[in-house]
Amino acid sequence: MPRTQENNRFILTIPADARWLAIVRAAITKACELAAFPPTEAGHIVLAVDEACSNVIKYAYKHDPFQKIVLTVKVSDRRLEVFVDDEGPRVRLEDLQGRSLDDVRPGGLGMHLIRRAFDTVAFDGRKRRGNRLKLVRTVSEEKA
Amino acid sequence: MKIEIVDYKGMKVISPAGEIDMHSSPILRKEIMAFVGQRITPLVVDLKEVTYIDSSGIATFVEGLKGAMSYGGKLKLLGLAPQIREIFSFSKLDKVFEIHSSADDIIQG
Repeated sequence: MPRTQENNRFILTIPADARWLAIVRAAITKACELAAFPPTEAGHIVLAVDEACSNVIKYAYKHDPFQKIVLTVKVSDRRLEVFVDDEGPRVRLEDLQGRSLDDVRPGGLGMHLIRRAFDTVAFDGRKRRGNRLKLVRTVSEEKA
Repeated sequence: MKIEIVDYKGMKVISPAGEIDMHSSPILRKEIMAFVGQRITPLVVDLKEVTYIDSSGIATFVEGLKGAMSYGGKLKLLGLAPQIREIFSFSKLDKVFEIHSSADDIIQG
């Protein structure tokens, strides 16, 4: 295995319990700094990964805190890839579309925040058990 | 997150401090809905010590607003830091909530 391809990523495993979300935010904040994202974009990315993990807790694991969420974060120059893995029932992106922003009611905002932050938002259909959400963002040229 | 209930010139103000996320928002919800249960108006939340909010926190305020509206009450927010105000703006809720710069601003009406 080429060593150069393995020194730019980390894996963070947390219990599917909301009290660990602060750890996720701290790790993603540092990853954004390493990838040279400006503060506003970094803030959007951190919030979006928090929302993705919250979705796993709510929808995939139905608040079972004994399940696990695995985050794989690949940090490149001006680019971040985040994979969010769970072992819950299969979730479809269409099921997570959220409400219209004009429809004022509790809930349904998370996917809007995820789509705002990332250029690519997709479930990996090749995963045989559970879900793998792939999130990719490159630093915006005009803001760099 | 810590929450204080402050009495400011006769007005009860809910003052959370820290990060509002899926873990802490149920604690804030309990405080807000207790005020709604007492039909308090205006229901004032001071966010100046809040450094982070996610969609569960936003949902908590929407639920509080709807609860207050059910008895003709109002939910007013104040002290939003730029990163907090930006989320309200993105979700188009800055047009739904009354957002003030200070408690005196609310009192002066």
